[in-house]
Amino acid sequence: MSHDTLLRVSDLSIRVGSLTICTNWNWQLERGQCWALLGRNGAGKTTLLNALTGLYPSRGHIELESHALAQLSRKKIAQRVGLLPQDFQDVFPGTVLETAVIGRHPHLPAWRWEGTTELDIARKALAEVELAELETREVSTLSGGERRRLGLATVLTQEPDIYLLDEPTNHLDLRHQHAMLASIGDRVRSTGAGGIMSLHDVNLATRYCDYAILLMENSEVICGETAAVLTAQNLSRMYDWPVRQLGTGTEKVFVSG
Amino acid sequence: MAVLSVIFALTTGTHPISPGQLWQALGGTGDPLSRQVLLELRLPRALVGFSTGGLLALAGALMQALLRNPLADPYVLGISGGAAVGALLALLLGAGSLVLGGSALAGALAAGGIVFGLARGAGHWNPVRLLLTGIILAAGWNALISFVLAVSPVSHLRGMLFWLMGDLSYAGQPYIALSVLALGVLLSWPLGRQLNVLVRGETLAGALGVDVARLHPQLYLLAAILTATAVTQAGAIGFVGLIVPHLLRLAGLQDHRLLLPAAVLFGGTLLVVADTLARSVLAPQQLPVGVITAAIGVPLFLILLRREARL
Repeated sequence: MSHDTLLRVSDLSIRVGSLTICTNWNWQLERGQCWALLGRNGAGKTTLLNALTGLYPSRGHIELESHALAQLSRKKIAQRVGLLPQDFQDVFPGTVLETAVIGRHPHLPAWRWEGTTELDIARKALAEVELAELETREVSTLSGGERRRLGLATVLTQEPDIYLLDEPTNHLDLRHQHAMLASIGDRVRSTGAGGIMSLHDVNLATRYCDYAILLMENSEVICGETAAVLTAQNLSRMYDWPVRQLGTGTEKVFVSG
Repeated sequence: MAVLSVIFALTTGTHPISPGQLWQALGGTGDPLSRQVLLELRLPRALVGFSTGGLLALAGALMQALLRNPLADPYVLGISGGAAVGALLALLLGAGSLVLGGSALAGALAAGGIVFGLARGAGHWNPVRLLLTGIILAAGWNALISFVLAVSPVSHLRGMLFWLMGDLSYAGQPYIALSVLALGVLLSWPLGRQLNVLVRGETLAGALGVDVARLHPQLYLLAAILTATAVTQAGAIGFVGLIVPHLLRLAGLQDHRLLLPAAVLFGGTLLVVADTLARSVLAPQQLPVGVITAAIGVPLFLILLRREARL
């Protein structure tokens, strides 16, 4: 078995209520790959991401770096897989740095306190998402976009092999959407990690992801290289809305209508 | 601060004892009356107060983390309601303090068991459903309390009301409660960092390696046992479990590894001071200690909240 395979999914079936997201799905994530996860509202993108890290029950087999996911403890999984949830509920106070540093949780023995090593990793992650100056700020005073970037900083602090990002560009302005996806792509390729991110902007997917997973109707899943699977025809069918392609190659842009 | 509060409790009362006499009495000398008042009445009572306050504050902090709700307190899931029904029935039948304690404990455990069973029966643990189950059951217990009060003879009502408002004078020896408190601290403290993660959301906690499905019932059982012990010993003393963890959070203790032990010390201290005031302010008249905890806790909380808002 090649060590380049981070995640191998065999015969996977996931259901939420009456919706079947996929049946007998086979797929694998290799080191250095960045995947986009696309689908209409309610297609099951969040559930699929949760299932890939064992937080949502599924039928079939998921192998994480050639270990069966079901046999691994939550802590062992968390040392390898990071998840950026779609939204945050901060009900108790806490500072930006305190929030980022909890990303180290799976790597520390229960009795160890976060030391300078952990704080340095968190500070580096905060700098990467341009939040370094805000490290002492109360989380409740952050804007939606800043909170989103803090969420990403927490995942970066976790330093996983696999990044599962649920709508990472939510709440972000144009500059930060591009900056964030570029920095995730750099991180994934330079550290030999793997990434899957659910996105609503098809053009961000074509630009920053080499591969894409499309959740279609009737539990059909299309996966492959972005250039091959992100076509006007597939997208029109997926969104049930006419989509046209303008330009080709790096100039390729999809517009509605 | 905790030690000072105990000294305050030991020296204050109808029979005044100076710190000098306190020292002598503890050393085995001094006049016999002071010695007796001190060792047989005030010291056990101070320890009962400290353990009760500590139990409630710790249970409150755990419950707030479990439900991820800053408004949660040890009683929100109806455990005190069950204990109150048990205690009132015992009072109605004119039972002694031992039966009273046993009956309250049985009520508390029954209430805790029912919520646990219902929340588990529904499959996945969900704080919102747990909270709703608890609140509804608490309302049911309240109705039962009203019923028992309504059918009770007038001569019993005063004792019942005191129990409901929290009263340390029924309590006997503090050693069981102190042991439960020590056990609670030992068991909850290693969970501290997991709690720090849990309060930021269950999905995130799961993704960061916390086994939420195991941690939830652990927290619930711990908080329920702590609460049951506290109410069995001293009735339903309000505010301590809600306000103490919050005061400490407002004062900047977000890390549960610091918050939990601090809550025990501060909760214990607050209740010892409150109880000393309750039995001395209008002496020989004794006030329910719940009145004093509210009188101290509410203004203190509002002041800190205002200061926080201005930052």
